[in-house]
Amino acid sequence: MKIKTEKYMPFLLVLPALVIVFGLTLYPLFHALYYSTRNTDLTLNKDDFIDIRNYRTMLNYDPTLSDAWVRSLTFTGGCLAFQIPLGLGIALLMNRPLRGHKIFRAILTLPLVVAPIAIGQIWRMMYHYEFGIIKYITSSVFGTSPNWTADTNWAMVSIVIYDTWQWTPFVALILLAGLQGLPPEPYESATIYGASAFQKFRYITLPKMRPLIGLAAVFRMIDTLKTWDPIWAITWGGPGQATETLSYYLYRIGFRYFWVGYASAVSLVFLYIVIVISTVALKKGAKL
Amino acid sequence: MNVLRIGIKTKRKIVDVLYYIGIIIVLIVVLFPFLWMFLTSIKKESDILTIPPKIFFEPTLDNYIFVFERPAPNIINGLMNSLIIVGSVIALTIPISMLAAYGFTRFNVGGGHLQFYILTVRMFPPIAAIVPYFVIFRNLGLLDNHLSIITLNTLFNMPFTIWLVAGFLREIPQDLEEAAMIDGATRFEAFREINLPLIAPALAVAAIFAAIFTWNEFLFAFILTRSEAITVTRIMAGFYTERGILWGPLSAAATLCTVPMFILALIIQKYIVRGLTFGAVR
Repeated sequence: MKIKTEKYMPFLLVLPALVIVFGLTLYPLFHALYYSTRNTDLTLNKDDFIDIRNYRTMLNYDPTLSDAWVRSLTFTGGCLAFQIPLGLGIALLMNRPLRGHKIFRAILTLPLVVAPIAIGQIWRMMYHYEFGIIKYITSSVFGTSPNWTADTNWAMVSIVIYDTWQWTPFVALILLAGLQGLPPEPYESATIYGASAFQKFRYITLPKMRPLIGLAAVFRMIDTLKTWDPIWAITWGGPGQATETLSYYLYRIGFRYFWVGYASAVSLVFLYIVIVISTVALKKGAKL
Repeated sequence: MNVLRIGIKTKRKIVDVLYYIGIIIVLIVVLFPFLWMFLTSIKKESDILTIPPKIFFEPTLDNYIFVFERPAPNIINGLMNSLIIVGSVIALTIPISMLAAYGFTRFNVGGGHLQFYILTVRMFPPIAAIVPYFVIFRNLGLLDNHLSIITLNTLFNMPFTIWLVAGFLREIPQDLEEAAMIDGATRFEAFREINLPLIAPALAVAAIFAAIFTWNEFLFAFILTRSEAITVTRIMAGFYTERGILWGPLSAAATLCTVPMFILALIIQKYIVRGLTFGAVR
């Protein structure tokens, strides 16, 4: 009896976790696979087998979907383009051993632990096209101001700025940890050979930080592809469809229109692409 | 020589001041939305939407009173439910993840593949699975029930906890346990006496992370709860009326939702980066 439990113990240890993980990931997957072949619509009480027609619609007859793809990629690209350089800049600022650096670091962690639905709605208020403090600041500084979330051309920018506010500290803290682990010797010899501060940054710091920059970028990419809460909190996907990324489009067809069949098909494709992109990025960029 | 040394010192001082200026600008940007949230929460309705925005005004607690006295489900129900859900998620996630992490590190169950599959849950966009979850929980009669929210949050907190705890377990030499077992301890006793005290900080950190993620979770709460199991984040989605958005009460609710998370963040200060990167960055 004792030998038996010892033999099966490794599997018993991981069993509860596996039941939860497999149960709650594979079951929805098969569920979605089944409904993706049907025209299920909860409002019209339709539920018939339509083979691969949902997939064909997705590829050929749904311009809203391709627009949503473009918006998702724009959002992810925009976030990375702002957050990585800014994060590196902040990390370099914080790397100087100034008095109070522990407090600075503590303050930097605060945006990371706040619910997007709470602080995002505060940003919605700050972006208000008439009374918002951000509009007030931009128009006092520049003399003129976009209407931020009320303007179809600026709404996506508004969400990118919000995400940059919330997550640049995360990038900065990762890179700061990396900077603090750099060995001092290369810098000392570079100083002896008369290298400028920029040359030291370009030829010592950047190459050594590359893996961590990759890691930070991968984490931000995975999360920005999934982003949903801030879009609900700040724009509801609008104005019009200006900030409707794929994840928000999925919400609209699933829970505003209740097209369960079509939403299942789109979910599957979205899920598959996100997991593939994330896994490749994780293996290439982060080498976990 | 003396003059030169003073020159270097003054130069360093000037650079220090420039760094301080940079850091202070960053910190102002980071803190401003929180400050604005708090200020709005103690403003009268007539002081909120004004041009120019008001920085000085007569403070009031009306917004806080409003959110507490709203007919149920109100913020009290939201805070209570979120507390119940957070507590249950921790009680489930921590032991299950601890066992799994031990299995993965000491017995290499699944040769790394299973642990990687669990990691992919971190990439899983919840929105892509919410339709099936909704249908499943509706068929089980678990809509607007704590159980559905607890289960889903447990799933999404487990990968992180397993990886974090596994990272700590790998740092403990296996010899210690084996020595104890040769001396006659059972595996359970060896685990309890040797590993558990060493991974206890990791478990505490993981529990606090689970608390933060679960407390802040909005999508599942939004789709799956209505009144009985309404969470604090779902409450915050309910300030839209025919008169527009109730900014004052919304800010009060947001402040109440945010302050406990600040306290937790300060407790796990040192581990935030390590936690958010699954232990990849120390």
